[in-house]
Amino acid sequence: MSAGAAYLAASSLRADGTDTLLALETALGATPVGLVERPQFFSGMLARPEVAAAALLAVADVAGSRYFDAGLTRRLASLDPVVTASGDRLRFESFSACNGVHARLDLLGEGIDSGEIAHGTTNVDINQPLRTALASVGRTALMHLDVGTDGLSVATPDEVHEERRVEMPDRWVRGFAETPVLAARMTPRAELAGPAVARFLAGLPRAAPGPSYHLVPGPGGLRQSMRPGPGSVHLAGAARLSAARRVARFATRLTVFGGEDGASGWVFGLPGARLTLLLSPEPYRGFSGEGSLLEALGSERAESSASRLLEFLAWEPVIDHAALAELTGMARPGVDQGVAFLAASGKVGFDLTEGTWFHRELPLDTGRVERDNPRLRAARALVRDGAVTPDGNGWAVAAVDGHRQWVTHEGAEPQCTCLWWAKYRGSRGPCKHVLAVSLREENLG
Amino acid sequence: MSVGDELGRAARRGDFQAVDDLLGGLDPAGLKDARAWYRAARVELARRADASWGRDESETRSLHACRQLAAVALAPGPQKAAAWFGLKSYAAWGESGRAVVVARMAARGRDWCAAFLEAASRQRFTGDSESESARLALFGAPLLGHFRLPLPTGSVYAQGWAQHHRRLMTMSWWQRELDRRYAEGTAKRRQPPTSTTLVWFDDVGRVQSRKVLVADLTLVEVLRLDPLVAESLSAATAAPGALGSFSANPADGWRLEEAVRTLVSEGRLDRTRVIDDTLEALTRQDTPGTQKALAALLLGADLDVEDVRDRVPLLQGLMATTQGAVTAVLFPLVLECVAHESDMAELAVTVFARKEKRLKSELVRALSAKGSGARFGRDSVVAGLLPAVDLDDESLAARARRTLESLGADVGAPAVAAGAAGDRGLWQAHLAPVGVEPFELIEPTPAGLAAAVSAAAVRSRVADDARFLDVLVRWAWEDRDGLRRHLVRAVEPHAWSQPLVVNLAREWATGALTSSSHARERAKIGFLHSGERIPRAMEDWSYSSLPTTAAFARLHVGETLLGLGTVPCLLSTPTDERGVLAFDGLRAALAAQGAAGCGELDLFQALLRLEPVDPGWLRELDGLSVPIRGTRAGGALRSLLRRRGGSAGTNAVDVVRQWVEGGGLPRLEAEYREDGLHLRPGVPPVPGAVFPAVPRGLTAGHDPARERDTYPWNITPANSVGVVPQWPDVVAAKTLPLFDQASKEPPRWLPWLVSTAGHAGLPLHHALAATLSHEDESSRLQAVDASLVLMAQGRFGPALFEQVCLRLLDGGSLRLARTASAWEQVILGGGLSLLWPALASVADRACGLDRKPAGLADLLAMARRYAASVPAGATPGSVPGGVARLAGTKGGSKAAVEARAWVRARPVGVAT
Repeated sequence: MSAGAAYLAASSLRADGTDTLLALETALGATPVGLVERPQFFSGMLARPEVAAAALLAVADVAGSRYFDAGLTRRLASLDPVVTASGDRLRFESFSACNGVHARLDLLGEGIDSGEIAHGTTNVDINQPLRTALASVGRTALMHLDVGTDGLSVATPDEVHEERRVEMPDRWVRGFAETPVLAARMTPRAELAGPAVARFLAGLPRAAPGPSYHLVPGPGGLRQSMRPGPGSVHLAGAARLSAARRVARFATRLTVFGGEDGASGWVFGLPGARLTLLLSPEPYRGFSGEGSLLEALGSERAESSASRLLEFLAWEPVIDHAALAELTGMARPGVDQGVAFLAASGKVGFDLTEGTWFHRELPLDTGRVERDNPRLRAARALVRDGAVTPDGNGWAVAAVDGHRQWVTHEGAEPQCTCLWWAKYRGSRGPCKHVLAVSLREENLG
Repeated sequence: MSVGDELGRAARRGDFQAVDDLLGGLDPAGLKDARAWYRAARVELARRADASWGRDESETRSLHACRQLAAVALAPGPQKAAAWFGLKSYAAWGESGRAVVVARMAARGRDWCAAFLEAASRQRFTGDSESESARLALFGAPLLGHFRLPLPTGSVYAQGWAQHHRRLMTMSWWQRELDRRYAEGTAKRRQPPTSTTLVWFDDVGRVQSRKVLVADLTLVEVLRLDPLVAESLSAATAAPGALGSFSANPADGWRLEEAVRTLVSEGRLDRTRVIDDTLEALTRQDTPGTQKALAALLLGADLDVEDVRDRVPLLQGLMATTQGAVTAVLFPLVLECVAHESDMAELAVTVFARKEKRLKSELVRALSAKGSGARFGRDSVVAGLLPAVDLDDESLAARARRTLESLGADVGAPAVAAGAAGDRGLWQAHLAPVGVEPFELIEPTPAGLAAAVSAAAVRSRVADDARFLDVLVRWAWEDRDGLRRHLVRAVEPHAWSQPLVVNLAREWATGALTSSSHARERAKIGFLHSGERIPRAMEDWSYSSLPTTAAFARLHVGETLLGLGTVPCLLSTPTDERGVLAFDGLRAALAAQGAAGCGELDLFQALLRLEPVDPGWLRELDGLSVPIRGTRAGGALRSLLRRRGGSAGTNAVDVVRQWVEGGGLPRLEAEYREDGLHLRPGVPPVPGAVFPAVPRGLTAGHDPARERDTYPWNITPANSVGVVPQWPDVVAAKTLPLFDQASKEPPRWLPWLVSTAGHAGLPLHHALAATLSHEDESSRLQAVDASLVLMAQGRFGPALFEQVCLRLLDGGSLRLARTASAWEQVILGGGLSLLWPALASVADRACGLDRKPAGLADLLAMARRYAASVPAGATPGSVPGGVARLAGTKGGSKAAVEARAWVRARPVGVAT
């Protein structure tokens, strides 16, 4: 988060007669009118407070968990979810400390009894006392939710608040860029309904990260397998779904999405809300290192398309590519490329259930996603140093130590001779050699 | 002598008492001198203290005490003192000097101590140094109590407080364990008793210390000495993961529950605060160990209904998110407090979804008990029991159904048996055929070689080493010196990350691999891999730790490298990615060989890989003649064979003919004997004298008594099944101990074993069956996949598998619950008809045992879900005799209930 971003007060859940007030404090926010300190995005009543409270806790659980470790003991104390107000819904997002799990709660229109939702993105404070209070919300409570409080709670004379700075690690920033790209490549693979959802979750191991396997459709239904099959979905680190236990008893449906790269999406249908957990392809792999966005980021043409699109997005909950093409006068492929670039820059998210992009602009310098990416940096250095030279039907890429690798375009996908490529075969994005060649080809062409 | 010099001399001696005396008597000038000395000597003091670790414990502790005293008295401020105190240094526990150091700290005053402890509590302790955070509590607790200071706010203090007690607990447990071993006679020497020093301030503010034997300590005694025990426990409860260590190895007298109960009764702990803190902590997602410790706190505080009556929503959430130890404490209380049918329905959905059978049984029992309607209200009982009618546990489902029917609730259509799958056509399920990928040929170019090196380094495919050799041979045939130059430039010097074949290639390129070094290697391998057990003293670890297939592969690589440039291609290069060599491929390679001839080991490798060949095809070899190139010793033997009138020993084509006409690679026969599984030697149809360089152990079968230990780290797909793709049983038999329940190494080569082409015999089926019952879920799933592959290839032997399973059952190593879950995955994958004989036989035999094996009910429950899919004419039938007999008994055990459900679940019209 940019320098100076801080909460002036702690979020709280307070009883006010028979009602409860959930006041989520905001920090620096990006809004349609620019950056705003502590913006207010919503004030209204929730239809199912116990569901919203449990789901918000699930998002906070993910932020407070490190699934790939000796246990869950080593955690970052307080990483705050990001909330995006899209006019018709509120989306709360977080990443685990290991960066391998992304959680998003979509609080939908049906989950909101009354109140207007504004537009913008910011962080909200979730502290331990609030977690305890959220865990105690029952079905009979009437709950008023404020996202941003106009700083009124700070004015309470007998309370002294210590200003707390917002923490937004670089891995989160890169994760925000990687996850929509991965999610957009996923397709629905399986569905569970009713109590089967709770049974499925309860059957998963508790000790993180848990075993990894593929759920493969077979003659007898879904079965577990260590190898992918047609239509299968990879559940990498089964215990990484444990945050969803918070909402298991409310879940009406679970839709499972899978991608060819091994990442998976788990969308829990709740009364008035949806909780989505995205799991990285392996428990030991964080989203920040997946490299799925590298090709998009490397393209200068996509970058110029993206900058034209950006002014038309305005926190739309659903990005309509056709409408954007009409509005901007750009060709449809250009819009698609531009949106992909925006996704890779962390400026749009992807909604698995609706299969659409949505605008979510973090109030920070997302350019560092590109600048800090080690593979992209290395590829640019190779091009700059003239290490990429034509060689027969392909390219030779010379390393500093004198070794050379070769990149060819056999079939649809480029092939490299390096160890990275032999190991991952493109499943973790292009290697630096392939990336360098594509940068060089773009320069030429 | 200056004060600094005196301090230096005392500190070097480790005389902490003298150091303390000097520091206590400093006047302003002396203090200035001492600080100057400390500035110059601080780093050296720390280095000496750390370097003494491992020499003499007493010396180490004394040196650390000197270092700590100097930091306390002479550092520019409390923050620097905390940084230079050496909390993270090994052995800086300061047992003997701790009282002196604590007194010196107290002498700095209340504010100084508060600032010191605050700064220390904000240090970062990670990984191994986490346990070192205990020192902060060790030094800090007496000071906090003495000065009535609040606890430091940094996260380390609470963590350290818990670690301090864990350390004492572990020391105590270990001391008692050593004493026990000595008493039992399993330890030869009695270990000297371990002691620790307790430090505290007396009523007049003087530091006191007492050395105590850790074996005599109890948790409650240690906690009583801590004046801030209530605050410290509260902070530790609030720190994620801090209390986790209390749930491991709780020795007598160290159980958290007992200590908390005692301290609550003595008024040292506030019961309400313990409960509030613990319930708050349970809203985090802590480790199972930490949650167990939190459950112990609730038990110690004697949590009761009145404590939770107003917290039902919180408890409902905790029931869904916490582990079994916690829910066991909470469940009876939640049940008491649930007042509304929607709350009961919520509780039931949570409880019936959980794994714990006890919770489910208790809920069904409570709701079905006489008077449950009056206790909970009829609507709540119905709401709570409705989700139970679909339970997989037949006895619970039946009980819930009966109660609901007695209440007049609409249960819906009765199932034949709860969870019964009905006939889903699983018996006739079609298993997707497993394709065979052709061998991926790489061009002998710099790019091709780079790709081959990378592929070999990944070690994931059976044919990778063969691919690398193939590139080298074809390149060398065109330009041997060019290849040599390129290898030196493009391949790293010997590196562990590179496979052996790549490292040896570089050795060849640099001239380090010679005929004589190869001959020495051959002699060693021939001796160590003769098929006989070699005395340990005669072993050469670098060769004897290799599996015999890998040893052979090593010799083959050496032979190939030394012959580079003399042949255009290898005979043994496989034609598909399973490592199999088709006859056409061999014929083409023989036709391409030059006058220099093929290598002896390459020919043998080719024959090991060769597919079954119809002797009629041998006509295609007419007119071909390829001499066998061998070592000098091999050449002499062949000369002998030639003098005796045969040519089979000298001509590769003749050897191939003799091999094929003799039936090819023999099938290996396996059998169980008392000492384990034996594989009879496979006698090749060509005399062993033709292949003198081949280690005898390769064809010697397997005898557990003669076999060397197996070292899994040396096994790769290329050097195991890549060498003997037609003999997967050799690899399976020699690595069989690694498939045991006790094996920690997941059997990562199981997928390669089944991806081969040869006969799958008893060893391979044994490996499969044992792994399907393995404790590690991922290993079981790997075995599920392997079973389905073998089934799809038509190589799975139902009778062999049945034989193996019954033997494992008799030996007590077929864990039925795990096996049932793995077998169910095989069935869902389409393997019901092939698995059924083993499933029925195991169930039959297990049901007939006087003492029913654990997990039998799980196996029966799983089997009855699919019994309806077994056709009427199947053998064995859909209900084995033993199961039917158990079903006919009046027993109420879970196994008997499941057996009855199985009988009910059989297809209509099928008799038992």
